[in-house]
Amino acid sequence: MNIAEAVKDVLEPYVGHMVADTCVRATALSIGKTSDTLDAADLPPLENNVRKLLLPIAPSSTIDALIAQIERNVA
Amino acid sequence: MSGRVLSRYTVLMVALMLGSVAVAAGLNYFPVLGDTVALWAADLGSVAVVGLAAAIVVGTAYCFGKGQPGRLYWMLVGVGAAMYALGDLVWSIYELAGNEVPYPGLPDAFYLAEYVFLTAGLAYAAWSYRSLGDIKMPLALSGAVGAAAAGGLYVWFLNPLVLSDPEIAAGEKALGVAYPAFDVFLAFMPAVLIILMVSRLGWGRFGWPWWAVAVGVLFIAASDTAYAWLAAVDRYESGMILDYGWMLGHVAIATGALLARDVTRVPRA
Repeated sequence: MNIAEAVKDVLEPYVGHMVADTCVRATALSIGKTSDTLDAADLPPLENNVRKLLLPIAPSSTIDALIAQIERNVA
Repeated sequence: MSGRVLSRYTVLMVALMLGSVAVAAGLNYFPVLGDTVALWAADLGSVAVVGLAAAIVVGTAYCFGKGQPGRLYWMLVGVGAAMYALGDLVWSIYELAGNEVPYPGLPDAFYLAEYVFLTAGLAYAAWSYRSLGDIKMPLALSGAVGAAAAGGLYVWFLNPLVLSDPEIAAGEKALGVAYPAFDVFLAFMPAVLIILMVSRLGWGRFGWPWWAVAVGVLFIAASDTAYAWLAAVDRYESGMILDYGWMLGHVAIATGALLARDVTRVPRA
């Protein structure tokens, strides 16, 4: 599974398709890539963006669990 | 999907609150135990249900870490509900002691205080959800909807029934205007704003709590406006069906708070 799909798979049930997709695309753009060319090395900025997106609306423990799930999906 | 997300605790607490509303309404409309029990059930039933709802919402605030926005916005909504429960308690003390409840009076101070906390909570939640998208358009749309609602309220209710009636005392007139105006600007408008913000999530779970909260706020706003009208024409009586609108509104808000706990629980893989 590619990185973009792995992140979207985890986020979609919680924030919906549009927001999950926007989060991945915005991160890719910010590092000069597209969603499809993201690789394992881009995980830290992706996780950072997920944290920024969710911190105002979800408990920290939830965000940690979602990020752990993303890392498991990617591994 | 929702069957797996909802916890047993949520189902139990919602059933408990709805059951309490049903018992209070049943004893009030079928006073088999006498009129005194019916009045106690109507008054104290509301204190108990809204008090429990407030405790649930405050409990949800503590699911968020110290300094996280979620702790503050749920806390504000919970304190707002607690203000209403206190207003109902003061109302009950007057009524159950056989005294006429003053209008305007101390209960109104608590009821009006709920708006301040509820509005602050909803507005801060909407502001927090701006991490998911721009807030300007939802703000403009909710402002337009609020202005239209306020205009309709003025033309069809406030002007003909409250403001132009010389027989209504100044204090009553002020409250008769304050309740519906607060309902529009401090309850309805922020509820529309938060719904527009979370509608971006589609069926995403993090939006679910706010749909329930918005339904609750609409119940409360509709009940308040009806109360202001009935009080203005001297036809309000304790135990009317209207009282259950307030209770159900707070049950819906507490349901939103319970959902907020459930949807943020990530299952272990």
